[in-house]
This record gives sequence, structure tokens and C-alpha cells, in this order.
Amino acid sequence: MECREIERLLPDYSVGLLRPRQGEAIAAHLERCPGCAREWQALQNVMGLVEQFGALEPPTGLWNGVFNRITAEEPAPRRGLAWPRLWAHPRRAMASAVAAAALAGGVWFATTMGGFSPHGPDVEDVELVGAVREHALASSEGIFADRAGLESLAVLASYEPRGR
Amino acid sequence: MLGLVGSAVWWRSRPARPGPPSPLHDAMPILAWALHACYGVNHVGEEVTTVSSGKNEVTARVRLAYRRPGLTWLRYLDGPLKGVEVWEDSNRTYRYLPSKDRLEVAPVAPSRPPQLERRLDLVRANYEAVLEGSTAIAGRQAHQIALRPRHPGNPWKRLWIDEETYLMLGSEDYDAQDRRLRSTRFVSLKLDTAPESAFQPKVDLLKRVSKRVTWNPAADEAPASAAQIARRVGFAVLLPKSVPPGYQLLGSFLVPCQCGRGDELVRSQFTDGLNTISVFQCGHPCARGSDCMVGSCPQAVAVRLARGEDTFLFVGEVDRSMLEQMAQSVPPRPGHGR
Repeated sequence: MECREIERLLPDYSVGLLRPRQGEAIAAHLERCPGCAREWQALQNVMGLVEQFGALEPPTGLWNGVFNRITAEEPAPRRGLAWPRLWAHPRRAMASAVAAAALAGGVWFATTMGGFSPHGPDVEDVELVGAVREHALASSEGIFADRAGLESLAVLASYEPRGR
Repeated sequence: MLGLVGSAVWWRSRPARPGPPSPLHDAMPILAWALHACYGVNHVGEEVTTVSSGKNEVTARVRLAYRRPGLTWLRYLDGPLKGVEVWEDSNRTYRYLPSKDRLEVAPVAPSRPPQLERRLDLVRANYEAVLEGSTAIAGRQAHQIALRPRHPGNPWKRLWIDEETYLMLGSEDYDAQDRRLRSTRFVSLKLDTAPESAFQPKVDLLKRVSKRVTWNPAADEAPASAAQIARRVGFAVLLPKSVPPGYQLLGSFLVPCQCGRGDELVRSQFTDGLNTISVFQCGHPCARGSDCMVGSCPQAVAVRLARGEDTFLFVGEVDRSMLEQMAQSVPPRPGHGR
């Protein structure tokens, strides 16, 4: 694998979303590539901070404060390694994570529940289910919205398989 | 005597004159009260919700609690969503997906009274609220109200509003062809409040999933103008020139693109007060073709338009022709021909 590919997969690797073989390939690459290893270390440092917050058993409201701070951060300048940039742009980091999670959830759903395969022949399924999910969540904020029903739709959309 | 008999016969045989509609026939005042009640009445209960997904239906029991101001908790008790849990305060929504052992955190769009009133005005303009009768739900008497669209091609809904507290006890959503999309109603309800701890994810849960905590910026903080969003994403936000009758642009939001390239896309939200149309615009060419493509999935209708560097996805529960018309009305990028 090339560094660019490794860089793209590191978020999923960090949360164990990759297949074992992919994970092993990334681990081997990190052993021999100092650049990617530095980025991995940067990611681990960030995750360590998150875990530290968790281990302290924060008082009520602290999580809101943490996430307010994360989402309120100003974008960092575009230079240097990719990882600091990604973590300064949580939305970008999440884009690949959400796509991968939707795919993983889809595989799980297809193998365990079935019966909900999308039948949209012309639209990239992973894009469509993501859009349906966002649409359902947006709709749930409307007045007289069926909150429980729309939450169900949003979660089910997360589980939709990518393939037909 | 003959005169009296003649008058009586005339009185009985006269053509019926349409009188003024019963004040309760127009159920909009009830809905105005209900809008405030759903934010003001503390309650705990259990709902049964059914969503249609193509030919299938998913039904689940949901434990729900609400506490002023804006604290909400839902827990799915059975079915394929068993264990899914949602906590919401005025700032954030936390959504735990047990199948992925993942906690999502998303900002909550503010629901301020002027925005609610604006939405209600739109509902008044675009829907007719008809009082259909009275029904018992979860042991309480409820007004049964149908919200019928004044413009054809739109979905509609039926609501059950508690006659005493104006709390919404149930709802059914239908598409324009009167097919039921969703149904939710309380099966038990207590007008009470749950302890404050119920409205936050437990610390144990946060610790267990801390490595997988993700935040979903789908809702962003608040809608922004197309110009503001364009400055943030670096491409022109193109809004359709034609929107279905009664719809207004609520605003635009940033969401992560699902194409896997790590880019952001723009979701512009249109509403007629009750119903939502989402227009997703991705500013990079991730489409596979250049034609307008139509797709469908079990829960919505989607129309996709790929043009040059831009890809659009129109999603809603309206008639497909409405979305196609919107897609066809998207202007070219400034300085580009079609």
C-alpha cells in the first residue's frame, strides 16, 4: 500500500473497522515508514486525550463542553502532515469514518437481518443511504415530526447494505 | 291554521343553506396549542412505532421521556433497533448504536419560538387541518386531526392531540398516494418527569465507547445562507430556481460527503412547514454519469443530477416529478454554460 492509501485508512484502522488483512498491512507499513508512523503517533496522542477525558469520569455537562470546543475550532492552515489537518477538520475526518461505518453496518445488516435491500438502480447506494439518513434526521427536527419513526429510519438507513 | 301548516311544510322542505363552518372543523388552533405543549409538558411513556421500508415494515416499542426545556430520551426496546438509545439536550444529540458500539454526537438545530411560529404559519398556508373526531390513545381522549395538503403531490399526516394537555399522542405519515409511511402512538403515558440522569449517556457507556466516539455534524449549528456556506466550502452553492408550491428555503448546512473522498457537501433544506426536501450538492465530480438519474430507496425518493464538477441529490417524500422539476431548474455555475 502507498502512503496516500494508508493515510486514508488510518481513521478506520484506529477504531478497528478494517478487515484483519488490511489491518496487518497497515501495521507492517507503519513499521517501515517513518512518515506514516509519525502521523499514526499524532492520531494516538489525540485518542489518548479523548480516553483520558473518559477515564476521569467527567462531571455532568463536561462532554457537551468538550464537543462544543471540538466543533467550534477554527480550521488550521493547510500545510504539513495530513493528520493534524484532519483533526482540525473533524467533518473531513468523519466523512471517511461515516462511509466506512455505513458499509460495515450494511454488511452486518445484510448478513443478519436482510429484507431491506435498497432498490435504487441508478444511485450509488452508499451516497443515497447517507443522504436518506441526513434527510430523516433533518426531518425529525420539524414541527409535529414523528421523532421515534424518523430516528428508526435514520438508523435503518445506516444499516442498509451497499450492494444489491 | 292553514298558514301555520304551510309555513311548517315550507320550513321543512326549504333547501339547506350552508352555515358557517363549525369552529372546531378547522383544527389549526388545536395544533397551535399542541406546538407549545410538545415543548412544555413533561412526560414519560412507551410508544409503538412502525416504519415502512419498501414492502417491509419495521415495528418497535420505544421508551420515551421528555423534560423541559428540551431534554429528550428514547430507548428502543425490541425489533432490529433494540438497544438504540438517543439522548438530547438543547445543545447536542447523542445517539448510541449498539450494533456498532458507537456513540454519535451531533449538534441540535435551535428551535426558537419565532422559528416554530414561522413553521406553523407555513403549515397554515399549505395544509388544511381537519378535525376528524375523538379517539382514545393510551387511555386518554385525543383529537384526531388530518393535515391535508393544499397543493397536490405532497405527503400528509394524521395527528392525535391530547384533549386535556394538547400533547401529541400519535401520528401517521402518508405519501401523496395515501400510502402509510410511518405510524407512532403512545401505548402508555405518564404526565410526569424522569430523573435528570435519564437524559444523559451514562459515564460507563461513554468510557466504553470513548475510542469510537464520533460526532456527526449533519445538523451543524444553524442554517446559513448559501453565500456563507459557499465561502466555507469553496464552491458556488447552486439552488434550484423552481421549488414546489408552498416550499421555502430554510437554509443550508454542511455535511460530510459519502463518496469517500473526504470532502464536505452542502445540504440545502426546503420546507412547506410540515414536509422537508433536502438538496445535497457536492462540489467535486464524483458522479458516474452526466445525465439526470432517478433512484429510489425504501424510505424516500431521490433524484440525482451530475453536471460538470457538481453532483446534486434531491431527497424527499414528495412526488418524484417535483424533485425532477427542481433538478432541472438548477442554474449553471457562474461563468459556465450548461
